[in-house]
Amino acid sequence: MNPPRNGFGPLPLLAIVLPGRALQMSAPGRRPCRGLVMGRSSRGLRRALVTLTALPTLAANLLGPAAAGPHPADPGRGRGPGLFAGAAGAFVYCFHCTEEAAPFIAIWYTLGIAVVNGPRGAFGAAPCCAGKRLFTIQGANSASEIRLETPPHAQIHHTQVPHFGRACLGALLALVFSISLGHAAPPLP
Amino acid sequence: MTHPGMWIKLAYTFAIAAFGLWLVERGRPALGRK
Repeated sequence: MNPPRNGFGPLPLLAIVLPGRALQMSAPGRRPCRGLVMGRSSRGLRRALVTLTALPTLAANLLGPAAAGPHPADPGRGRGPGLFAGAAGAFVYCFHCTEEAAPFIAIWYTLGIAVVNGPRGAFGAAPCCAGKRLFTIQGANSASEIRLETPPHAQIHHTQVPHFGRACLGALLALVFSISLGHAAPPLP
Repeated sequence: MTHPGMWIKLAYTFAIAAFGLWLVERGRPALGRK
């Protein structure tokens, strides 16, 4: 099943971001535009930390590849894992980020999540497809075929791993990774 | 944690993560169905 298409592309996002940006720029005593967009504490590769923090969650999708289920022939289904991993990474990154300007969040957080997701969810699908090759039965093309061909005692490895468990593990990995990054690169003064 | 910007960041990323999780669960076969 493909993710729903709203037919409006990025317009919903712009509809949220642009009015907020207009309000902020019209506020008295506003900071210069460059400071709002580029931030005051970020420098160079620091913005890439959103992407880096998302990697453990993306890797955690390996643990339940058939349940997460994007088939290699349908990479668009990687949008779910990609979005989830990117946003979970950004969520953890929030606790280290001192920037609070709406344009900074709208641009860099969204970009970081989009990078993890990849075009049409291709990056989100990659670990699931790789894991699917590792864990599933040769020749099975869908989760239903896997369920039919797998002995009952082994099915839990393929179809019944709760995604919530993977989510918790991914968040835990991301937290440890983020804390280690925070120690390695403390916030700029 | 008390700054509104912090809560906005958390809510924004949480909403996207929830949407991603919903997409994953939506494309996943129902448990226990043969």
